[in-house]
Amino acid sequence: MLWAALALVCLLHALAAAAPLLANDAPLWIRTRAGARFPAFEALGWSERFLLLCSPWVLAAPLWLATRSRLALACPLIALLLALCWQAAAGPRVFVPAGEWKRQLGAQPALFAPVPFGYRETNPSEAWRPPTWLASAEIDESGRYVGRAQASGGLELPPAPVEVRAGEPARNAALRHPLGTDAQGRDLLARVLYGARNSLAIGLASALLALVIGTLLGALAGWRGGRTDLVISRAIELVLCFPVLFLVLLVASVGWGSVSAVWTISAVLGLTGWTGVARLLRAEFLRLREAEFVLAARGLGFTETRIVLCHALPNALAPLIVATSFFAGTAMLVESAISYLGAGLVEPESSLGGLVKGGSEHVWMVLFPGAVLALAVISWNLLGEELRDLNDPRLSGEQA
Amino acid sequence: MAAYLRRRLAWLVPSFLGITLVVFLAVHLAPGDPALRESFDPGAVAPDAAQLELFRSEHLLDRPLLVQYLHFLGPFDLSPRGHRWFGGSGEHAYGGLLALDLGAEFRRPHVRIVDELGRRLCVTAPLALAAALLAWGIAIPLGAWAALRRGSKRERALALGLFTLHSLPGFWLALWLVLAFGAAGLGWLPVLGLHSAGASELGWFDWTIDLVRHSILPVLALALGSLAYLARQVRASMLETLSQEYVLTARSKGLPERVVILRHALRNALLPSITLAALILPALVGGSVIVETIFGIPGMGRYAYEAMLERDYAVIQAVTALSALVTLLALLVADLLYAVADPRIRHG
Repeated sequence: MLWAALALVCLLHALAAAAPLLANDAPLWIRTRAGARFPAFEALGWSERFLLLCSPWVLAAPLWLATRSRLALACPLIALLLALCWQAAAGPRVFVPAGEWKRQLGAQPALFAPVPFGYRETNPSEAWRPPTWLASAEIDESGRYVGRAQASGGLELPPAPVEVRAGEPARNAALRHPLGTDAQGRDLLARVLYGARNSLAIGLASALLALVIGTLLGALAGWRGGRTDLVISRAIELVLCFPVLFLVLLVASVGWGSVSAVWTISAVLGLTGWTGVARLLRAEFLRLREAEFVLAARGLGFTETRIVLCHALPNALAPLIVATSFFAGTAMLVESAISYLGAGLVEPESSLGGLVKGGSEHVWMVLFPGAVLALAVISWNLLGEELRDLNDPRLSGEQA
Repeated sequence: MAAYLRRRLAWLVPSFLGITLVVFLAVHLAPGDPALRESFDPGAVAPDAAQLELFRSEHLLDRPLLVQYLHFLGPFDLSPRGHRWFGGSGEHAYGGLLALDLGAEFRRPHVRIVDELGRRLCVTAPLALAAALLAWGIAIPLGAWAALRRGSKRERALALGLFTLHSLPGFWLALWLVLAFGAAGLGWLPVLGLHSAGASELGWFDWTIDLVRHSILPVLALALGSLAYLARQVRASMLETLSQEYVLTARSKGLPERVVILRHALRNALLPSITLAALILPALVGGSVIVETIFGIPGMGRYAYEAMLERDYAVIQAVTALSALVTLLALLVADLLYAVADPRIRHG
């Protein structure tokens, strides 16, 4: 179960990191008269390239961990280097309006992503289309639903001819929009993929921030004790009382200039969420400070820094990782609640909560984004739970 | 005990000030201008510079942050209409948090925030209380049962269910409740507001029935979120207690199993829950924002949310100060109860 949970977490993050390869309205490859071009990659920034290069490594992370390979640690650095080289070699970033490539494309050979739709590519004639493998989604040439007089609920737009662009499945193909479309006819699968990408990024970033702050403060409180401990403990109690949802709403309900809301939300969540890690580490360090191996290390004349980093911290690592992985799940839940309320990421950026909000009267708009979010949170929580059982089997479901 | 109480009360003040300060800074440093938003009205003409100036000076938005914070804190009103000591006209000498006068809303200057908070609280508090009672009422027996039957097939199924429920987003659950029981699904229960249209003409009995029918789904949605968390905590705590030696002693004394479980194990296992009951308050406040939005209930959460969208600083600060104060007091009461219940802490 532990390895399954780990593999699931890694798979989700790898898919999210590779999103531009999986769903894109620009073709991955085309042959022009001047030679081959790679339009999907021309629009990427260096961080997106880095994530893309990281995704195979993330996918293989359980293997690395199982074999305890040192090489694995070097991989993000290699990916970063490659991304920078790629960035330097590539031309300037090309911004093409959504769907433009497919409109311009003639008969020349092209290779598209598995989902040949961009997350911001609109197609008004297909607004609120149910998942296309359902019989009720069948539409005729003019955009009228065949099976019934009216589409289910919501806004009924005057029918317009359905535009099937280059590289897209046929009008009534079962896999044209496997999850349906939203109010502007954007493909829900592509939007869910990019929304999950944002959610997972927020979960991971805020958890890492909380881990760093919590480790520093918790270690300080537990190791120093006395007055330092008192001050930090009070600070922890204070932060526990913060109305976190309000704070995130305040900061996220208006954008911060050029900084993406992904980072501001992560920052607020991390800055208010470190208490769990700090409390755990403080308790562990209070215990470890008196442990015999620490006394031995001290007797050997090691410096305090060395004792903390090489002896105490590795022994307290397990509960820290558990707390962090639970926090990542919680952070994703808070973020989705914020975007459900209509704050947070702004259109056309996609967020899972925002998708549910946008189509709360259509079953497919509630079901799929919510289910993906639930899957992501469950995978983090499962990982936390399995790690905790490994560390402390008293709570596990098995009869000890 | 008295010394303990004094120490705790002394900490309450800096904690409360700290929270209000952080919220104050977050409100004021976040982008967005209440002056521009306040006058946003589709029918109205665009405000001219003089009007904006007047609005800013009335609400001290043009003064340094420190002055604004002191004005919010009270007890002296520092605005142009405020106390004479600070260069005001003396019309409205005292105000702010310490004077228990939170001023008027930015958007609707004739509405006193204290009155509005009272009205909203009368809606939210009963719902939150009912949800908390429901959640605890189910979580305690469920958690205790799970700990006693650990490892059995049914317990594993329950654990899986609770685990999943704990991981699901609250708004998603609430939406499914709406889709399932609302007019779109079974049509058993109303899903909008707390009263039907024309409820004021009903007799008191029908009115109450109407109210209860309207509150079932919101209360359920609020309770479901914390239910799974609480039940899992109770289970963990109960497992911990069952492995203690005094439980073994009680069993070997030949006490009936019922007495061992209820009086020796469960009572001790519920001790940590006292603190937990206080700590889920922020989650309930957060949950009420979502639930009140989905079910269209005019409560505290919705009030705070609308104020945040409008950048109504006065209301945001009032609501967050109130929620922080309630949480702090609840934590204090929980600690005191804990000390009453557990002599090790009282005398430690």
